[in-house]
Amino acid sequence: MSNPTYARVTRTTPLSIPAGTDTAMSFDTADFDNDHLWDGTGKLIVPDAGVYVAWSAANFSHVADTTRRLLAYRRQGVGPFLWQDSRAGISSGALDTAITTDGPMRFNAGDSLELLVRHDSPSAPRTVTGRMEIIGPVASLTFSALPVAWVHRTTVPQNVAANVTTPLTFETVDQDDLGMFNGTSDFIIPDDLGGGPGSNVPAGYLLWGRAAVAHVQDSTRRLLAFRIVRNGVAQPVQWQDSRAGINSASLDTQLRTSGLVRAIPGDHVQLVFRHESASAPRPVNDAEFFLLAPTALQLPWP
Amino acid sequence: MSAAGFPLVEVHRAAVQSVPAGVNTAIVFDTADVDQDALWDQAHKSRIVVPTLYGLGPTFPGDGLYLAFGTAHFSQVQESTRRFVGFRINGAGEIFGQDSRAGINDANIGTECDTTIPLLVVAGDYIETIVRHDSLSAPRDCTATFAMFGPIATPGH
Repeated sequence: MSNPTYARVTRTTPLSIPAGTDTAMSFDTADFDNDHLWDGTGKLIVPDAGVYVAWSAANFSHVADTTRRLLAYRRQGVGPFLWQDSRAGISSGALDTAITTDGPMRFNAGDSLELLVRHDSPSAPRTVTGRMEIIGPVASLTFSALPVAWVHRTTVPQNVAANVTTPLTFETVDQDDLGMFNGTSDFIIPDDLGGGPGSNVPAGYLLWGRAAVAHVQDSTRRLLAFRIVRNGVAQPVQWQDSRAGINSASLDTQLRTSGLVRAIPGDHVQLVFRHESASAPRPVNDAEFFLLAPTALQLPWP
Repeated sequence: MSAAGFPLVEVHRAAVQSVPAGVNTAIVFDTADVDQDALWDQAHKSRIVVPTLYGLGPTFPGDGLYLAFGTAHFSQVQESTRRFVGFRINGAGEIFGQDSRAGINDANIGTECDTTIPLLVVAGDYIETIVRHDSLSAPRDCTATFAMFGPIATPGH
């Protein structure tokens, strides 16, 4: 057996990026690259088709403004951003803004992956360092035995009332190997996972979620998290990620979270969102929710 | 051990921990949610230690790539100075997966930071969850959760 494909590349010297421009990160060092994915600049080329998971971190050098910083992936140099994460910059003369993002993505053999960085400071370029890593495939594009569930919303915004922790709903199923999606918002853990029917022994599930919250000029909290509903009772939220909204007339706030959740058969697993805008509901323009059992991540040993 | 057969640990800090301003601070956990392989160091409760071997029957070396998850909740305070969470290996050096943000300036709600990152470690290494805030003077209260499983791969082979 061979090890999975794994690559980690780093940008150690600061990269100057212009304002208001999606800029592909270029890297200067390969920390690991067992299948020669790195093209020597900014791309990782995936050798085999499948679902891979990528993680990235970027450090935007300090500047005293609170304009947006954004981190996202792009496949094949075009198309929609994947697993983007944005936030207001930390207004400080000495403290950087560090952003991470991660998530599963589908690739065909030979596809490329780039890491995009952006800031919206009024004028000056800003400098950034960063890292991108990828491992996989953790699942096949067509394999039906691994318990992957993957849904998204892209076309019709979901209005979410203020001050209410609300399950996000999804309109499109990307993959649902074991029929876990209930058609609206929940993944239901089936009886043949974990400890089996009626079991109270939890098994671990890897979850990723993201949401794009429509722009509005306020900086109240937006929160994204996972929640289990067990026997009809909502449990405390887990792996929550909150931030002040980006105070902008045109820029959405992109939230992303991930974590390991332990669930038993019959549990409903949700991706929940909450905001505290003073009065109006806020639209979630698009969202994505992914579940993967850890068993799928037990990759072959050498 | 996880259903997949490799070590899985989840610990959290239930009681608030006072974190001084401007200092990278390791969370001292007080509760184990899952720790069947005893990775949580009872003598140093901020540390999760990579095992030398794992497995029932056949055993495997603990070295490799682990997935680490961390989330920290900073208690409410009306200020927008920085908060972050990340991971540190063996008490020094780079803070991996560092994720920072401005505090939410609100009279009632706190700020949550979340991060996930693969960590390449060897047997005996320990991982700590590092939090920090940069409020001007006062300490701030924090709770946190950490989870880790692996090794999911052994890079370099």
